[in-house]
Amino acid sequence: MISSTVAEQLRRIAGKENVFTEPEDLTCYSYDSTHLSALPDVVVAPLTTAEISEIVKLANAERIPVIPRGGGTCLSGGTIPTDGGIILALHRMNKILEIDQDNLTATVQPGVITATFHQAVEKEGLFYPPDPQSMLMSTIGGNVAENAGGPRGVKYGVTKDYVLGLEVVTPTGGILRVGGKTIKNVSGYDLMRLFAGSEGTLGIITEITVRLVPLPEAKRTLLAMFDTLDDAAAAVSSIIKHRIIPTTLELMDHKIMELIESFKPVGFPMDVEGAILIEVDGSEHDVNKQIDKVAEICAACRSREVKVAKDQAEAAQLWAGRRSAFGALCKSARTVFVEDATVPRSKVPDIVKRIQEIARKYDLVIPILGHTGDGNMHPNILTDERNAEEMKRVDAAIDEMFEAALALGGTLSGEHGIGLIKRKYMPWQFGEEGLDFMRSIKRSVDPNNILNPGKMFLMEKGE
Amino acid sequence: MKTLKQMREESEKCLRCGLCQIVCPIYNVLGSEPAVARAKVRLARELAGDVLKVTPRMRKIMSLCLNCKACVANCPSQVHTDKLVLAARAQIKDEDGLPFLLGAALKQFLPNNSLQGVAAKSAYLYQHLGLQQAVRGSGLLKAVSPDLAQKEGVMPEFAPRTFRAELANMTLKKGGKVKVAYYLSCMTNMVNPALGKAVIEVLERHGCEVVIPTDVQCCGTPQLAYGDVETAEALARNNARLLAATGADYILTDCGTCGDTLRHYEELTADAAGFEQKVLDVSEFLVDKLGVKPGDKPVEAVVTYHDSCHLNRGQGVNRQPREILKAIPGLTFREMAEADRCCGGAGTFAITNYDLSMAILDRKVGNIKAVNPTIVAAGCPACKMQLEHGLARNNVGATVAHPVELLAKTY
Ligand SMILES: Cc1cc2nc3c(=O)[nH]c(=O)nc-3n(C[C@H](O)[C@H](O)[C@H](O)COP(=O)(O)OP(=O)(O)OC[C@H]3O[C@@H](n4cnc5c(N)ncnc54)[C@H](O)[C@@H]3O)c2cc1C
Ligand code: SF4
Ligand code: SF4
Repeated sequence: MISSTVAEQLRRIAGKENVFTEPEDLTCYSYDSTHLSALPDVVVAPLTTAEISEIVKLANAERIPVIPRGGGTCLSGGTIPTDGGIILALHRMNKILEIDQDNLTATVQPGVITATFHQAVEKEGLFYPPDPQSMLMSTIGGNVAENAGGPRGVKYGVTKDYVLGLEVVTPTGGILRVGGKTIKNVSGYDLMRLFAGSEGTLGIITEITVRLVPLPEAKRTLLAMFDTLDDAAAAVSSIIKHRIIPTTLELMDHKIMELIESFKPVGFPMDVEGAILIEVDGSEHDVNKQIDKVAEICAACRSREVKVAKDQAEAAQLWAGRRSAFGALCKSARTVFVEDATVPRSKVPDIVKRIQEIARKYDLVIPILGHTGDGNMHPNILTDERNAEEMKRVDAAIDEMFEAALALGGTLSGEHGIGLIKRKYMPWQFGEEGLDFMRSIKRSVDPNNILNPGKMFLMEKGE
Repeated sequence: MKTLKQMREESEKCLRCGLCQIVCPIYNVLGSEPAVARAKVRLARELAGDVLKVTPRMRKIMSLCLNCKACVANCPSQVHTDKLVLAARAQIKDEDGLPFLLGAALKQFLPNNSLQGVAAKSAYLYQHLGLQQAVRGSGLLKAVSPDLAQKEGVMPEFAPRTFRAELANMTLKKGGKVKVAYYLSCMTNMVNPALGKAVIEVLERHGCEVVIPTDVQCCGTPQLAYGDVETAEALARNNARLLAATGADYILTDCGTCGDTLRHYEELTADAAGFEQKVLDVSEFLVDKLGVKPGDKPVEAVVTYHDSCHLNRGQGVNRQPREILKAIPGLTFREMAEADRCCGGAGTFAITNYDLSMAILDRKVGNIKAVNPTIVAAGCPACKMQLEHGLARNNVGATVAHPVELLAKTY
């Protein structure tokens, strides 16, 4: 519990109508999109970087944790205030400060909703590619903090590939600027990359400058259907091997298509084991050439049928189906674990096989879906958290899935981050040496362990 | 109606995905977590589980909901946030009671038909004898409270005579191929008797025998919105009995909100058996049951249509009013963006949360302006009132009408 003088000081800094201590408010900030929750001591909604700096200084003096929070759509528990403290709600810092037509950059505050930003730049004929499936409710600040990716990652990369400059409040309350509008920048350590994906543990991102690209002239969508999931996965690897980089390459297994069709029918086939939804973009000419080539490769990989969307409406229909996958999953089970194991692209067929084996071994329903073009798999475990016995099998299955991903040269997370959920696997990927290196960075910039403590890894060895 | 405790399972269905953030008009303006459906679901759960108690803050957060059901329509687990909020409000009311004036309005004024007549009359006189102009012009209200001055501006234009009073001098046609009971809403009665007349005319032109039980009372929506379930149940019992006693094949409403509540009367009273199939919105009835037949007098205008939440998401009626508009000779139909987004009216919400309501309304008016209509059609008199206020405050010269009123002009 924080003392009333701390609350008083917070009110002085941020204005009394922006500080909340009632249990109802604390409850509203106790959860994110995981199943975890814990109550903060206070919620503060600041308006300026200067206010945040003062809040962080106060938190250091009083040794109170500070947890930044954007849209609260985190899937790894990053916003859960496990040690109480201050939730820094960033929704009031939601201005698009500039769209710079000459430099093709934009500068925004952290609380801007990702989709709102997309719309604003697209209106100017520009394009901000990072597209987490949660973009309608996530914030740019949250995207940077999680280094969010999305279906378009295969061609366009992830959030960190677009960040050119940041303003950050350090864990001790300093205000730091790194980068700017230059496309090239090699001065000093690459702090931008350090902050991208730091999950609120190394600094509070208060302003972001991103690189924009021209809005592609055309795009086309294709759905390739396969008798076996193996063939579908092989086609993904083959497309990449043929040096074609579609905008998106989404793999879906039979189960997920069945769920989508019973939730919001869009015409996915019901009699195939796997399908890939592919979009290509670029100039009119390139797009047509690419789509033909992709169709050819799929045929060579024994696709049963390739359906090219004939117009925007048909394409939009297919994508609406893909986007409703999450809803379809949620509707079919009480508890859904959206996993996020990622492997090198050539290993997609192997990880798909392993996931199927694991599902059989533990007798679990695990529909597979993935931004497979970048090796990012989303096996989704459908379960019920009230069933203790099944939850044990779920835990064991998740362990085994990550073991498999790492063994194939992969990583624990392609986009959802580590947070609380995957903390225990960190030594598997980094070893004590790697973890210690990270710990020493954290310790030196955040001596009092104020910013989002306990996320990603514990500060003490043996975890 | 189910109590919040009985709805606990419902609150546990939430996966905290946050998809309700996109569609919740309140969250869109405020941006803070307590404003969004996900939070209200969580608070309902903690209230049901006795983890949290009824407090002023709980009351405040639960009041920040338009009951527009946009979150329900967009929720992958189909969590009924709207019902959870109403159940929470009922528990709040049970433990905390209602503020005196509000209680009086819900229990005595709205259900009392003769009082409604008197009130409408005095409000009309207030508005039309220059008194309103004088009061507004004097700056008196502003001096007392700027808030009150704004609220006065949302007050509807009352009719000189209520529809009930007019009905006394009207003869309804006897006989016809279908017998329909027309439910008389408070808003049609007090504010828009012209709509009532239009509905009767259109139905009779379509060969219906219209019966109107004039003893029906307020539908119960305002009472439910404030958690006064008892009064709502009593109203439902009385209305259901009167409507059933007409022996009509269908029960028709011209108010999206009343219709939605009437359709769910079975949750409030055993007397409403079969209501769910029998209650239809008048536009739904005309299009789906009879096939709409407009007259040949053209209505030269550009119209756009606003989907009232309780008509669209509540009753699933959205295609039919548009079909009526498109069938009217001379009328050009233009779809606006976000036609199904709440206008921010939600009964007294516009008065209790004026600024918030206006922020929501202005977005609506922006979408209306973009298609530049001369008429905005809406199937709920409460939306009509809110939209008129929004158009006036943004200096947009369009008028607002019920689709059936426009249809009546073709004869
Ligand atoms: C349905 C659904 C689909 C999703 N799909 C994707 C997907 O396709 N790709 C993907 O990458 N993720 C996805 N996610 C996960 C999530 O949406 C992303 O991680 C997103 O980037 C989080 O943004 P947010 O604004 O909600 O952040 P929050 O959940 O509020 O916070 C996330 C983390 O960032 C920190 N943080 C937030 N703002 C700041 C800031 N300004 N400065 C410093 N730290 C900050 C928080 O402390 C926390 O650790 C999905 C989630 C859901 C529910
Ligand atoms: S959309 Fe539904 S499941 Fe998702 S957070 Fe909102 S209420 Fe919960
Ligand atoms: S009913 Fe409407 S206002 Fe209420 S929580 Fe849902 S979307 Fe928001």
